[in-house]
Amino acid sequence: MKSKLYLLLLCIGLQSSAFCQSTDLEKVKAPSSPAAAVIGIQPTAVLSPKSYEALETAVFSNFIGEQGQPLIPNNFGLEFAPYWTKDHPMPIQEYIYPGPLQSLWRNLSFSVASTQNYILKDTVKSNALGFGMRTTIYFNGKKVRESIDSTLNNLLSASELKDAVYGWGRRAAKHTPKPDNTSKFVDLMVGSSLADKTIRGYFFNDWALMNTYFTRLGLTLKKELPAWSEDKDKEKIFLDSLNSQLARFVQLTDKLKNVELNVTNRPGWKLDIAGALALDFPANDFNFSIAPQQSVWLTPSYRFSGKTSCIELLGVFRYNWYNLGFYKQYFENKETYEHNFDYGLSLNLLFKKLSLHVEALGRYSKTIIDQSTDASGITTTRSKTQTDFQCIGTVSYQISKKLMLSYNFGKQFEPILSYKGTLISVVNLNFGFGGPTAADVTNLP
Amino acid sequence: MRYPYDDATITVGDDDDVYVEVIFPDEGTTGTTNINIPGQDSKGLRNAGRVLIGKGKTLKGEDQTMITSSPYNIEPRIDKIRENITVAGVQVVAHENLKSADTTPQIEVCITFV
Repeated sequence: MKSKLYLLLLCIGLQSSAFCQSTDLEKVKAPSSPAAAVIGIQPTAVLSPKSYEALETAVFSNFIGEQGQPLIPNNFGLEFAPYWTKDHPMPIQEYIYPGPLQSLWRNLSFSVASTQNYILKDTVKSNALGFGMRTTIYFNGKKVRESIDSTLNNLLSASELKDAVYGWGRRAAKHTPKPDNTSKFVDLMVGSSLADKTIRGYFFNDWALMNTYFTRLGLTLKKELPAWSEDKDKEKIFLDSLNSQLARFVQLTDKLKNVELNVTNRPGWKLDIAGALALDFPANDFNFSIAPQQSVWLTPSYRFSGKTSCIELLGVFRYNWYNLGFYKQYFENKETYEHNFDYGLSLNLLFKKLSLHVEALGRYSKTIIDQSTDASGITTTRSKTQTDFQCIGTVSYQISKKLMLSYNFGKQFEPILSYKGTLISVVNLNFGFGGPTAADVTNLP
Repeated sequence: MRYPYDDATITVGDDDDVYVEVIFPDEGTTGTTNINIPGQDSKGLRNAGRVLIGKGKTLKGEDQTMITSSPYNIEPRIDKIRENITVAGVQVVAHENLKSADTTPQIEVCITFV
């Protein structure tokens, strides 16, 4: 058993180190496939939008058995996105913000999950498979693309001005007439800048605006720059300071940060649509299977932009249909509801390596007990309803771009056969393969 | 951070059109370049590309032409900033720095035309 565990750990290690140096554009996320959810091996009900990995495989287990022995997991999930199995070169803006129809096809994925622990009556374990598909539609694409272009233009305009003014500073420092003190150096640099047609172009030849700008710049530099000196070492210190003061004056770092936040976080609305079907093999016989459950998800989500871009809010609407014939046969005397509506909210906090996920869901279950029609044709239906609550927290750590370790903890909905209670405590690993690389995305126009 | 490169001396014909060309080899890299030409208005270049800075005879002399360039890489999964600058067909800068070390490098080179 130990050797198997070492083998697993070795695989994880190889996976982690092999992808450390890659330039893949997408990081794998915590597993959330519909197939794994429908057979119950993935405890969370909210499906976060999938990453752009061509293939994801997930292992769900606590890795430690009841007696504390190491355990080779036997609950697996696999999700496959056909679009990313081929190279698709595209501009970076198009990669980040595809149109709604493009995102529908790009995000389409199919999932399969398997477990040997699908519990039937008297805690008999059976084999079960889950099959699912889903896609994500991005909205606000045009608006956010314009926002990227706008923040990028802001950065480049500031940078052009900094480079041009610095150019005159370099000339003043290197060539005659040489300034003999900092104040004269700044006056010379500002004077040359004001006379430069290229610089005037940045201000649309608005003299008033330009004079105000350079007056402020001149005052700032005279106050902040060290003493001018032709001594080679001191000249270097002086020019370093000039560069950093100009960058600070045009707020270069802030502008760059704005662009990066827009690019990395895909802010705005998304809608995840998913469906899944569970297939159980009660006798562990390939020729005899029953579909006990089917589910459909609608998951709208919103990712904030700017300084709050680490926050993502998700809503979830899930409809579960339980096959009463199956449950009456294999879960005798257990109360089963045919129609189950789950609704709730989820919050994702996404940091560089660490992410936190909390979800709170309510459940409304309804089933028809009996139905009769009297002589006058009036149908009378008796039904019963039930409500329940689930609250689960997930902590995920990005081991590498292609490997995510997650831990789920919380209270799940009351299971039909409650042999282990409602406590959730599961570790899972998600591996990513394929997906777009930097080489697939062309330079900015 | 400033990255001053060694001064270059480039031979050009009097009637040659002299171009400065900027290349960003990596995806997601953009930037600005300013060429400060003696006795003239400066020339600006946004993103990669090339710009005509004048005839050889107007550029020759003791006063140097000064190039200042600021590249940025906005693709967070690319870990380097790289830029190549060519003047009159001669490569004068092959810059590379890790983004972890500096996200706003400023590249400088002075050219003497003869």
